[in-house]
Amino acid sequence: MAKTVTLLLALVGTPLFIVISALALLSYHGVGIDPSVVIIEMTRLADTPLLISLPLFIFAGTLLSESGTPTRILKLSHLFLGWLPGGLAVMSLSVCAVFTAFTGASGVTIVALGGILLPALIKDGYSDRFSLGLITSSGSLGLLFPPSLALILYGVVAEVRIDHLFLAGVIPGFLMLLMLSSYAVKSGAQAARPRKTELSDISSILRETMWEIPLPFIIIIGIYGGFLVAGEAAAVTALYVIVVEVFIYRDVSLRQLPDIMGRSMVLFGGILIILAASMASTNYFIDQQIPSKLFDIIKTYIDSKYTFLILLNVFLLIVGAFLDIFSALVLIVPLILPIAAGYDINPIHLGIIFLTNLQIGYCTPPVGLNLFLASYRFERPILQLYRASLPFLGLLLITLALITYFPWLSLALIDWLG
Amino acid sequence: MNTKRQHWSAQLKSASARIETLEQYLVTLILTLIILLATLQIGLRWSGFGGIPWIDPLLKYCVLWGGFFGAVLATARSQHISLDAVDYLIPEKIKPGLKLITLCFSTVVAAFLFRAALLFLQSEMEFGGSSLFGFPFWIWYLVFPLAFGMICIHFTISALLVLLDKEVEAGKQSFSGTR
Repeated sequence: MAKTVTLLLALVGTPLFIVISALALLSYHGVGIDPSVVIIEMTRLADTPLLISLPLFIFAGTLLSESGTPTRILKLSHLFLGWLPGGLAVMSLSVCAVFTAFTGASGVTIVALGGILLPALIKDGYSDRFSLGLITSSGSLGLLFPPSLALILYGVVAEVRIDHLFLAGVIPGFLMLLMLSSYAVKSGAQAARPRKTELSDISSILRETMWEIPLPFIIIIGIYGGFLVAGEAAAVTALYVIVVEVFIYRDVSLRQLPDIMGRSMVLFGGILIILAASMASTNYFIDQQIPSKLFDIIKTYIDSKYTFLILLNVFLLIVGAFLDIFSALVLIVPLILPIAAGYDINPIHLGIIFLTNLQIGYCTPPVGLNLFLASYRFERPILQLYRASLPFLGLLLITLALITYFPWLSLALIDWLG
Repeated sequence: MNTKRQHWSAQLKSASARIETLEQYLVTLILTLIILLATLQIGLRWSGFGGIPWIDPLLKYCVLWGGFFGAVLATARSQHISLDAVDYLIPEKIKPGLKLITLCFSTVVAAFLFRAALLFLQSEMEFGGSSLFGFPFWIWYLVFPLAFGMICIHFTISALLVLLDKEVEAGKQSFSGTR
């Protein structure tokens, strides 16, 4: 009874960590275990490797989104992609991907970049529907590229190597980008003329962005060159972003830093406390052998790994449309991981499937978060956004099928470089 | 009566804002410390000094303290991650009442978590060993009762504010209605 009331309260906006903690407290109380066990489980967080990279990357992402970086990345992408037919659309996709990789799929991309990109696309001759669909579906594109917070959080929860996850996301991420870009080029060829860039523009844009261009390379070369582990790369990124944005570009003043740091820690705290609460509830589930019981039930109906993967995709798409990515990861991964292991699915491959589904779930009607954000940001009816995002959704689903059934796409780079 | 409620509401809001400012300073300080210590450690390692042994364990505790006080600040700002899947189905009229129920529930759960943290700390004081800088473990784990205690206080303040503001609002409406 108490558990049912708790679950009902979850639906009407009770903070998720309160709901999970309440369930954990009730469950332990039900089997006569002291409630302090809930806190003992939470102390395990201190020993979670690479947890430190979360606040640092969140802070770097928040600071970047507050600075002039979005506008400068746009100019830079225009330089490289402006010559393509459909160049502006491809550029929008690429910029959104890079931006989401750094800031996480918290809706910042649509809010920060959508306002600049949507009018630009429409002015360039793209249809209203195409432009809206593109911005809505690219709001969470880039979730598979390093240093995406979602990848790090999956690594923390599933206890797999984060540098391997970073590698695993690269080919699937590019595949998604390629699919959407091809569609954009095809539509763009009819809609918009490629633009020419003057030589003087090239040097001025390169000069303007010279401090931001090295950022992805610091992370990639730092980690894969063996100079830094992921947590250290996060610290170097945070310090670099402070120096560049506060002291070199001066987009953000020193006075604004405490507020930005406060907002970053609010997001980190929100994730950490759900993680803490779920450690307590997950341990209860494992003690009660719930994942293995679930596996036994599923196994009686589903023999094939591939049928399981189809059902997993459907389940995760629904989860992605209802839950935000961080709570979905923390709540569902511990349950799914042992079941997937029973079907011999590699945990890294599972992570990429998981995140691809959650990313698509963000723009899946009826309640995908990106649809609501875009509806709010661009003041359009939600039904118009459902229609606009359908072709993009279709392409993303094809990519999902490829990523799910060809594990090679996720594992090749690890075999090669890892 | 209505003026009295308005007065209490203003007092609570100002107290809450002051606590929030302190919490913001604390998390800013911790994040700054994390960035500085982590980069100092890398700098020392790269320059051949091998790093300082206490930095890594201290960073672990800083992340824990920073994260939990970030969560306290999230409570103060009502910015916790929650499901609002059926939010658009709920009539506006019953939303304040529902909010009050969820806030009261959250206060009770946070109070139970606070109690669990105290029980944990008690057993750590009795049986726990010593940790970084020779301090006993329970000192580092003080963050749990402190954070859950503050979370409980913030939920209580928010619940009281919903109650006071709702009645002030209702008072205003009945006043304008009778006029």
